Formats: sequence, structure tokens, C-alpha cells
Amino acid sequence: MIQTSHFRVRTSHERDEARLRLEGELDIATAPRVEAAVREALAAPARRVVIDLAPLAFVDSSGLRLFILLAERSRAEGWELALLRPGEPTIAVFRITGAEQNLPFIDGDGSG
Amino acid sequence: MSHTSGYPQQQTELELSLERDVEAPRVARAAVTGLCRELELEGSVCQTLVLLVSEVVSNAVLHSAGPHDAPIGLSASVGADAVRITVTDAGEGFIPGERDPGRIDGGYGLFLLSKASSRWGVEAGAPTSVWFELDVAGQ
Repeated sequence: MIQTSHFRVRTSHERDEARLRLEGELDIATAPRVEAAVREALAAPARRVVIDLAPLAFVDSSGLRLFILLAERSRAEGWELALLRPGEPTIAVFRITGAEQNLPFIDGDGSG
Repeated sequence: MSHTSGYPQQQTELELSLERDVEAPRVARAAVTGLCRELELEGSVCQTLVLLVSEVVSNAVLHSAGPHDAPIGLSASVGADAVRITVTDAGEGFIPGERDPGRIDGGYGLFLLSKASSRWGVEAGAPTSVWFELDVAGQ
């Protein structure tokens, strides 16, 4: 796996919930690492996965594609996905495409 | 705050050759961010430029029909009214075309381009270029 210094996933578990905090830039190089981290969290096994997008510095459509895929997978497999909404400008890719309404965004400070 | 003046009148060029791998979009974003700083472009313009260059370079990395070791060209020219970015790959007949943005496996990059750029286009052939412009001056 390609190791890139501009991206980091920190995972913490509490009961059946896994929380993934994404830091850095989410693009075609780093999106597979989030998918792998989600897979590991589900194997833990978590029933609810909360992905914190707030610390991200950048997201492009590879991130958008990933979250759409994960949302579909969660519905098909019966686990819960929640995305902590990022601020400006990283929300732009979700807003411009209209995907913001269709993805399970929640607001929060990451402590909930 | 006024954004209507202060942009350089002369053309400023950025010319880069990117290795065709998954790191190319990040390198392209960094170069465009540097150009934005140099030109003191408005934050929202810069953010859109960075997003769109990431999309177009990602497309070239993932979908170019060219050889895998052929580099991707990135150039930027800056006029008084607009910034123009061109991404060139060695692909022959790579036509991005209209893709369904609802598809899970792609198409969002060009959908974003059509939504967020001022103008964009494709020059298909070998090499193939995708260009876009973002208006920067005036309100």
C-alpha cells in the first residue's frame, strides 16, 4: 500500500461504534485507505461507523464516490454510517454535486 | 474588500510534467495552490481551481488510454479576466463525454467541471487535452 504523508486515519472504538477521524487530503491516492479502515472497523465488529470529515483539508470526487459507496454498502449490509459534516471549503464537492442531501451527514463537534 | 483590481495583466505561466500515478493530483493541487498565492487570487476562486485541477488530473491518471508511463502535462495561463488550466495526457481518443453523475464508478469529475468552471472543453486526439477556465476579475 502506498504510504502518503499528507493523510491520516485515526480510529477509536466505543462499544459497537467506531469513529474514524480523517486528516489531510482525501483523493484517489488516499480514499482506499478510508475504505480499508472502514472494513477493519466493521470486522472489529462495529455496527455504527462515524467518519469525521471536519479535520480534512481537501476532498475531491474520489471522496464523494467513496462515501456514496459506503452509504450503499451500509444499507445493504445492515450497519449504520454517519458522516460528520466538514466545513468550507471541503463541503464544496458534496454541495456542487447535490450529494450533500443524499449522504448521512450529521453535525457535531466529534465528541458525540 | 475589492476584488475587481490588482490582478496582473500579464500572462503568468505554469508548466509541469506529472508522473502518471495516484500522487499526480496532489502534486497538481500544490502547484496550483502556489500559483494562487503568487497571484493573490481570491480564496473561493483558488479553492475551485484546486478542486477542478484535482478532478481533471485524476481523470487523466485513471482513464487515459495512453501508456502508463506517459507523463501528464499541466499548464496554467493567467490573464486579466480568467485563469485557464490545461491537462494533457498521451491518450488517443480519450473522450470524457457526458457521464451519468449518479453512477457510482465515476463521472463526478466532469460533472463538477461543468458545474463549477466558467468554460471548459476537450481537445481529443493524441495527445488529449482537457482545459477549463475560471473567471477571476470583475464581480
